[in-house]
Amino acid sequence: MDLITVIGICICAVLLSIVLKQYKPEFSFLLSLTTGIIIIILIVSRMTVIIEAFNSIAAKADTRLLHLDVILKIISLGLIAEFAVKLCKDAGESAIAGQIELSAKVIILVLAVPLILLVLDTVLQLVPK
Amino acid sequence: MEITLLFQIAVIGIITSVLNTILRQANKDEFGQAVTLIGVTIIMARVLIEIGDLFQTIRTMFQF
Repeated sequence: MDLITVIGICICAVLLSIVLKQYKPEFSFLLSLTTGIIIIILIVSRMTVIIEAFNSIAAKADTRLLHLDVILKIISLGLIAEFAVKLCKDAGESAIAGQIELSAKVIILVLAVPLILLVLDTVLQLVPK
Repeated sequence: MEITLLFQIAVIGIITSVLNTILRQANKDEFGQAVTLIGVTIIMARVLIEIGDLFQTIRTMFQF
C-alpha cells in the first residue's frame, strides 16, 4: 500500500466531499472522517517495522530504562488526537478542537511524568556532590 | 475494498439530496428532513464500525 494509493484515495475523497458539500454538508464531514480512518488504518499497519526495531533495541538494553511502552502509547495518542483536532477544525468547530488538544496534552503529560523523573534522577546522579 | 465505503457515503448523500428536492416539489418537506436523518444515521452506524476497527488496529499495533 504505497503512497500512490493513499494519494489516489484522498483525491477521490476530496472530490466527493466537494460534490457533497453543496447538497448535504453533513455527509462531506462524514466522508472526510471515514477517509481519515481508512488512511490511518492503512499507514499504521505499515509501522510494524519501526516497532520491531524499537523492540529489538529494548531487548538489548535494559527495558526498564527505555519505558518503551510509554513511548509507543504517547505516539499513538498523539496520532489519534491530531487527527481528531484537524477533523474538528475542518468542520469549523475550532473550540471543540481546542478541548481535544487540551485533553490530549494533559493525558500525554500524565503518561510522561515517570520518564521526566527518570531523566532528572540520572542527571542529578551525574552532578558531583 | 475501502474505497467502496467512500462511494457508498457519496451515493447515499446524493440520493438524499435528490429525494429532498423531489419531496420539496411535492411540498412535503418534513419527509425530506426524515430522509436526511435516516441517511445520516445509516452512515453514522457504518462509520462507527470503522472507528472500532481503527481503535482495534491502534491497540494491537502499539501493544496497548
